[in-house]
Amino acid sequence: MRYKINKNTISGLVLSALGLFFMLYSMSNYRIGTLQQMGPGLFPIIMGSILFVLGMMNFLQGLSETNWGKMEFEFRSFVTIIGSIVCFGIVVPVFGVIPAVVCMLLPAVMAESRLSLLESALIILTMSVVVYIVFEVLLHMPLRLFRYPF
Amino acid sequence: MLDNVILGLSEALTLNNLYWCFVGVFFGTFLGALPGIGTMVAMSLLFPLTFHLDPAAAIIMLAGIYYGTAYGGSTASILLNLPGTPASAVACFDGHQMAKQGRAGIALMVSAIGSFVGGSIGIILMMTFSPLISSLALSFGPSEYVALIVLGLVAASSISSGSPIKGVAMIVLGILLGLVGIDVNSGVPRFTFGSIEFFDGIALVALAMGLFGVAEVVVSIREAADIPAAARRVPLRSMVPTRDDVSRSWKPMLRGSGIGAFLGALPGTGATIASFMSYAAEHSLAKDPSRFGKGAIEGVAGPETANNAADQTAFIPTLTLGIPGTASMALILGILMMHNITPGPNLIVNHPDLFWGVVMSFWIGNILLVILNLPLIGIWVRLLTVPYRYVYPAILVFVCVGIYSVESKGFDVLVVAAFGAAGYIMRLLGLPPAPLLLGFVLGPMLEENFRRALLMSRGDLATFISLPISAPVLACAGLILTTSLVLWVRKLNSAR
Repeated sequence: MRYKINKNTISGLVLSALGLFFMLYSMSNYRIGTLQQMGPGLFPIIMGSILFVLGMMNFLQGLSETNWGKMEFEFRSFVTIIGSIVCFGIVVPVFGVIPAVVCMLLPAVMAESRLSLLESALIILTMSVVVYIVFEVLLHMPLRLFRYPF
Repeated sequence: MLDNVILGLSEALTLNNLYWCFVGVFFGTFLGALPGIGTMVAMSLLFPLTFHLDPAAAIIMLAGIYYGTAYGGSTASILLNLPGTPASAVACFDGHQMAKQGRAGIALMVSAIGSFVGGSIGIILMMTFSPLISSLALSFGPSEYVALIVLGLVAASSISSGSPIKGVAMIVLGILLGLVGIDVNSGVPRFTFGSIEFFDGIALVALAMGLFGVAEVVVSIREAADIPAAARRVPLRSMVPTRDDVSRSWKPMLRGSGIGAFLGALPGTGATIASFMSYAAEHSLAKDPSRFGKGAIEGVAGPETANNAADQTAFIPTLTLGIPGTASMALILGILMMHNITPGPNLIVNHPDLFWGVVMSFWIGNILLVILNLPLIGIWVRLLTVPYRYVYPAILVFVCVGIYSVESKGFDVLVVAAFGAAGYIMRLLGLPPAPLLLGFVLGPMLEENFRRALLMSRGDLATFISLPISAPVLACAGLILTTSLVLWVRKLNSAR
């Protein structure tokens, strides 16, 4: 038997797994109650089982497909962009907003190979100034732009 | 009616609301003109601002961004043959041909006037029908509500072009994510995995920014090609339409308004479908259909009117029933919920100043847009050619600082990252993000009404198929789902 990997088999499996998870987790952790007096578990169980069934339908559709479908995972863009957001989230509580902006832009500019070193530096500088002007000067938001953890 | 208009004007014309209306339409046009920023990205970028505003100003601003991007989108279609928004893709067919024939100014003018006409007719219909619909809906009980929400969700997810199975699955996943947090009825924290951060649920902003903003950036970086800097100058003089243009345009505009207003108010059909339907209608009504695709002004006037009419009437179900039909409307509804205003038929009665103020601000916003768009067209055209590599770092920075400004929690930023990653993977797998957002916003409402309906009927499920409202509404939802499934299966078979 040939294994079929395409958009629909993968998404079908992921959706079914999520549905199953919500269903089983609610069954074991929350009271179900009766239809008249619904407990916190009943609604997620219903929704989880619907999601499970839909995921299985999606999976079966994928099995019946002959073409593999185009899937190109843009590894570089994905890692740099998601990584830059994570960087901001980690740095901002410790050092404040402006250092976090600089830290997040370092991976972000690497996503695009056409950005030269000078352009990248200019982007980082401009964005730091823009953030200062927009959030501090114009909007007076109560943000800690700099923080000294030491 | 007159009282309401005066009440609305007195609210919309306060300095504060005027200011935020201007901010909304200005940034709507500005962001809409930048490549790679659509309506949802623009709305989620400025969403954090709404936390610091009162609800009326918040909705006025976000709505301004919403229809501001719609105005800006057609400029890109006409001048560069690049649809700025899906709803303005139709303007490429004849609008860009007109531009090639040196009639770009007239195409832009007709598009702006059409947008204004469509918007105006949409607002008038909204003013007329909203009070009627909401007074009718006041008699609805929870079981009717369950039926209406199900209809709205099913229609919104299955009419889109892709697989109805995936659309509905995304709705259900959205509903499940909406359940995260403390259950209001039992006080039990659900799916929080012991983390206090999730007690209030997943933040709507974080979800929208991740799924739409961040995921969009990951997709667009490699795809974005540089737009040749063919920054044509479009002088005001070239915008004056000839008598022939006017006589050809006004009928398509009226028909477009009708088509757009009708489709916009229905769940699932929005501005995009309305503009295509209007184009098809003009094509089949034309005496000489061969002119279409070669710069027929009717092919610009009709669709450009239809999509703006639809954009306005989309507010009717959102503000009168509390049931949004599109992802953008779900964000508008989210503002109400954040300010502890229960969306639904009571909104007009309990908050008339809010409702009528918002409606009257649409007039002001539409007028502002015409003023902003025609004389300043040169600026927007230049924005169209900004390379995406300078735009995306700014998007990311504003996403991060924006979400952090809401509650100053680094955790929220990490949630955005998680949904950004999920959103990109969803796009790879062909799973649409818009139904997920709709399900997320409506999920708690659905559960609450489901629970109440069963409590009132003492656990009898037959309450959902009662006459005169629930049964036909649910039958309608079933019909839409089966039809779209059948159509989809047929399309799959013919593709094979």
